[in-house]
Amino acid sequence: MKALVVGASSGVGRALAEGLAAEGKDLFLVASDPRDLAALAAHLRLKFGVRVDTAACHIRWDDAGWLSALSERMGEPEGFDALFLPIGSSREDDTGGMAEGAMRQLVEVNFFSVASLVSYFLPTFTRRGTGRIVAFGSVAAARGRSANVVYAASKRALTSYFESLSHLMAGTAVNIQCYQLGYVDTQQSYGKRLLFPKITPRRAVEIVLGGSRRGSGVRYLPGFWRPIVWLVRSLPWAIYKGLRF
Amino acid sequence: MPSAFPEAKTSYTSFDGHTRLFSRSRRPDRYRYWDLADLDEVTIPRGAGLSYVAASFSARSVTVDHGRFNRILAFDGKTRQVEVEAGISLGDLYDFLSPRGFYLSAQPGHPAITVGGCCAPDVHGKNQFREGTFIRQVEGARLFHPAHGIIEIGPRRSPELFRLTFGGYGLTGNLVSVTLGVKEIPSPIMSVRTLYLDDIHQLPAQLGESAARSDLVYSWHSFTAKGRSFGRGFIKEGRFDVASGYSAPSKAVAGPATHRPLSSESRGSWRVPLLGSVTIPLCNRLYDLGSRAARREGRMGLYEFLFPVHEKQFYFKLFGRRGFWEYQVLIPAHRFDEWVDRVRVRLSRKPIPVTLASGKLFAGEGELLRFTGNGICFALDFPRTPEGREFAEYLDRLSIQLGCLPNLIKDSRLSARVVAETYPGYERFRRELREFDPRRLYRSELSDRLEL
Repeated sequence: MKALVVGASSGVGRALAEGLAAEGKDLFLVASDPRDLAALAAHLRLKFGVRVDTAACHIRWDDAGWLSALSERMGEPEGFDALFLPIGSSREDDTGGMAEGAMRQLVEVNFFSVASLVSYFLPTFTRRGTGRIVAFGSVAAARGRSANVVYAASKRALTSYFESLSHLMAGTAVNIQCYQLGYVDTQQSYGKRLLFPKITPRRAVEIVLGGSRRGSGVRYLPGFWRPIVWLVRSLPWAIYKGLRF
Repeated sequence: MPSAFPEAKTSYTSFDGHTRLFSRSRRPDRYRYWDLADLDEVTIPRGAGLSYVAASFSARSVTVDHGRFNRILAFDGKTRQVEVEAGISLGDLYDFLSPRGFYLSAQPGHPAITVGGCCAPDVHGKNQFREGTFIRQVEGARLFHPAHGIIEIGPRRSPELFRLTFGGYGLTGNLVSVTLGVKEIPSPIMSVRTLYLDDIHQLPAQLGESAARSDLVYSWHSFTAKGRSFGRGFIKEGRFDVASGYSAPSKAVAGPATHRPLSSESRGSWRVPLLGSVTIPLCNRLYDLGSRAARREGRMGLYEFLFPVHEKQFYFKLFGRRGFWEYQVLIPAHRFDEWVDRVRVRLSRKPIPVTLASGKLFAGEGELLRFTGNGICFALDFPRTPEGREFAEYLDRLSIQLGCLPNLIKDSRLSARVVAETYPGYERFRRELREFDPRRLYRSELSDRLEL
């Protein structure tokens, strides 16, 4: 059995691939650039002796064929017992009024692609009665604001989708988790002055992989974000509307 | 550059504490970065940032941090080759190679240093007389330059560019990957022998004798001792203890679970220096006495042999925030006595608390700005004070007069004039660099200071 990691070339995705390989897990890695995949796959094979297959895939809203092309490369879902889907996309100009194509692309990457992949694997996991599906939301979606408008909306859709999945699979051994990521030391946060400390992708992955026996549900990573998100959501509108962050 | 690879404004410090400045920086993690490079942008690559000098930053360059390009790309035990991305640390490479029975035979003494950081100044270890400098174990490399794309270089493929790059201080481009020849570990254990040396003038002859029977040799001397005791110390010889046998994987070669981190910022974290004119002579005296009281023969593991600085890195912290100077110089063996005598006289007239005086035997041919050749490689460390600077300037004059070669990567104040007068290949390096990169798109504080 192997694990699928989509968005494996950098950040949390790459750290997940490394963490899983260190546990001896065979992998199927997906990212957009075959050069990154080749380098990572070679490294994991050599260092950990695991089997690593890869597929380069561009997730595009205007090309519905990406999933069928990818599923051809992946083979039957029976060969997998875990999905890790740390994919996401954001844009600096996501401040309302984005062009339709750009907007659809954000929703495609942040929500539909994850939902499509889950739909591809879920029947097999359900029939088998075991499996693990992990997605990654963002604390940026805690409450709508003037930046990351479509990004936050798509990540909230993802969170809602995973709440539904958790409910659907309650009572089974199919583990459904959605981690709401705080600040992680990736390209997205590089060079930014942030209010709260960043964690390394490696530390984030230690928590995720260490949480395999925890039940399904939505979690904050790191955990200190839970009260912060609660506070942001609890702020009266009269105060919230004046905040700029 | 698109927002996929954002910039930061980063404060950088050279390891010796001398050069501190803000620079723009990027930390790419995907190969797409090389597709997007800008032909008008001045940059400089950076590894672990442990160079004593500001070789990986300047006020007008964008520093490109290679830390996320740190993977092993290929390994073949039969041909004894490993291909790695340039941002991999020596410690991580050791962790991969040693259980398979291999190691890099020429490398500097801290595991946090990256392979790219070894290539740029073409570093050496304590076995230079036998293994040469880092370039000797390089089979090939892929070099990126915005005007040329990715170029394959090696001893037989674009050899001129290869020799310009290894020892080129990062000024020819970004190393994307490096293929290294590795050696079988003869034994996980080193036998170490200490020879006491009361007269430093015996050093060249003694190093030669020791080198003939050893795999590594270095010396330590007290340059704070007075009179006839000046320069007394010891030579350490290390030899692979082949009799102890070796079969991979062996626990004996395993390094620590995690390599101790080291950075220029952490080195200078103590505001107050603990090494000064009172404490240094005392420390040297105690170190000398302690070494003489210790056993003359002992053993050490391969990790400790390859990375001696790993357990001694607190030494650099003792200099505090103000930092230190290191003057490392290659002295022709026949000028060594004169060099020592003139340094002794200078120190007796204007005492400088020299914390470290250490020698190694060097062999090989110098070329361009590569720090190599035949002679005694001698390093002096002392606090970064105005008096220390005057002493270093005295050493510059000595280098010019005696035909010595100062190491550019160790000294933050070395001038273009001194380098031009001591390195016969200085002008050729400048010319070849401009032929390859007429727009000089790779610059650092080091290259600006040396007018490269």
